[in-house]
Amino acid sequence: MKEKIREIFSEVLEVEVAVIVDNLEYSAIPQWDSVAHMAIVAAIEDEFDIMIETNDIIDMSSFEISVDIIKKYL
Amino acid sequence: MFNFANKTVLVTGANRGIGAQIAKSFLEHEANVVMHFRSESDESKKLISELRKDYSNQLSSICFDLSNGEQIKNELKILLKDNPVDILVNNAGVTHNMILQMTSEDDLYMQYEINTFAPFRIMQLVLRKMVRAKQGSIINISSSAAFDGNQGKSIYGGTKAALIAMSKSLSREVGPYGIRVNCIAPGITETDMLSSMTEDVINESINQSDLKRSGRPIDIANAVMFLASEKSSYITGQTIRVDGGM
Amino acid sequence: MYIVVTGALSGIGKETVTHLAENNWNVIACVERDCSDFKKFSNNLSKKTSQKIEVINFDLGDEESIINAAKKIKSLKVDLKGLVNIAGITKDSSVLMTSSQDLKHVNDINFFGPVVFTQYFIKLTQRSDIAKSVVFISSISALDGIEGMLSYGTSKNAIVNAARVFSRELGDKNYRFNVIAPGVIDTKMNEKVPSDILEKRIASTSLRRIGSPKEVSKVIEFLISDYSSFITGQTIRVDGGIG
Repeated sequence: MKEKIREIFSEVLEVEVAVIVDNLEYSAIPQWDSVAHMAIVAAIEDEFDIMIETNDIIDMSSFEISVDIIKKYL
Repeated sequence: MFNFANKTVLVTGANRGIGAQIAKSFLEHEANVVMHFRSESDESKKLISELRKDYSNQLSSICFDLSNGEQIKNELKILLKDNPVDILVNNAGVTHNMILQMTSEDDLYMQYEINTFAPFRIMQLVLRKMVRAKQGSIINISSSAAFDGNQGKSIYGGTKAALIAMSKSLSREVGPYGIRVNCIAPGITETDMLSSMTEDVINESINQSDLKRSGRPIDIANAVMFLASEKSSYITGQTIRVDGGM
Repeated sequence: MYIVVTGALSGIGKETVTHLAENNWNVIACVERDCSDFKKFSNNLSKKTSQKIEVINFDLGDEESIINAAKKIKSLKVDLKGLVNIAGITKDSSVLMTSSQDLKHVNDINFFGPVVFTQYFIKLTQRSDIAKSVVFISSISALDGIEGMLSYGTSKNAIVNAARVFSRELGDKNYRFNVIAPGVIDTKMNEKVPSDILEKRIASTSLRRIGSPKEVSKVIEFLISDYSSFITGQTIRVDGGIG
């Protein structure tokens, strides 16, 4: 599941999977801006058929933290 | 002029007035429509069954109290699970007519809750699907009071001006995804909302307008369809005043 | 019913003639000079759409020519629904390098000409029961002020006010007047704009792309039609979200 999420990040941000390291933080790379963040959320929601709360979206400040948050919904 | 076959439209505040006409107009032009009501009532049930008689496209309803964030979230979650929303019309609103110095805190909060915060909450959720689909059109119903409010409209006008500002910035954020966000600012339109104003004030406004007549819900619905359709494909971040030239 | 369209030779004007004909309107297409290519185009369009396309010639910079055009339209004895003032020119230069002749000429074609022609259109149609609609093409440069566009911007800005005043006076006499302010549209008018400036403008749109002439024509179609019957005195930006 973690690797699936990594794939999603890579696809939406249009970067190699290797760039999505566990501790990659929001805004650390120019591709991961607020607009891209919403696109990542949309893709994850589609993939796992969940709807993430706005507060959780705001808390998804790194790849690893995002994975933990998403786990809550599964 | 318009054809919305295979498009789904969500209209808030669809039980009467402008909202009901918007729903009807979209149905007339082949759209599938989801009508929002605060709650099911005899009025809403009657409206739905009448429309179902006349139109064979999909028509469903969704109920939530605009001042209840949890309800909005829960109901929209269910709707969005299986249905795309191609077009969102934030029409529901309540009017208020009182000078600023005699406006209660309760009224202040209620106005912003229904007219500004609810559209914000609904857009936040509906946009999730629109961003993924890389298409969508949002039309927010503002008001001429956002620009030239008469006495008594400082609060109402503020809530409607907030929608315009919100829509402008939002249109820049989601434009790259092919999503357009625009507003309509009606002037004096023949609906129940007019009862909050005195006849003198209404007539004065009408006489000062270019067309010297009041608008009808269908005038607003036509402008909404224009902004929802591909006829306005290069228009975003705008507010169109449909006010007979006020 | 007929719609009069000026500036029909190319760009937004030509596309508008096409789009209106394709949407069941007859058109009186106005071009400056007789042109066999345009005659061929209008004949083909007429055949394809089964709509009537009349072509008349006149020079927006010459009041006598405008009066003759109005007489010609009157002689056609047709029902007129609307007028679309599209013809216009630009002559970009920095403020200190803009000659008074250029300033006057651009304002002649873009402001005086269309206003005078509109006056004659109104005189021709004021006794008809038809709900008439006049559309003017302005520009976002009229509203935003753009470097190099003193003559063009001011002429297009004057049009915005003119439309408002026409609407104030004639709103209850069965006329509507509205203005479209296009942004960056894919026409020959961009030919003289340096490509890096053009790219920068396009990148500043919310939709991240240039607009097509058709996208302006569709808005014209809406404003001419009765679907917009409660909209008057307005200026609508068609700019992909620049402003």
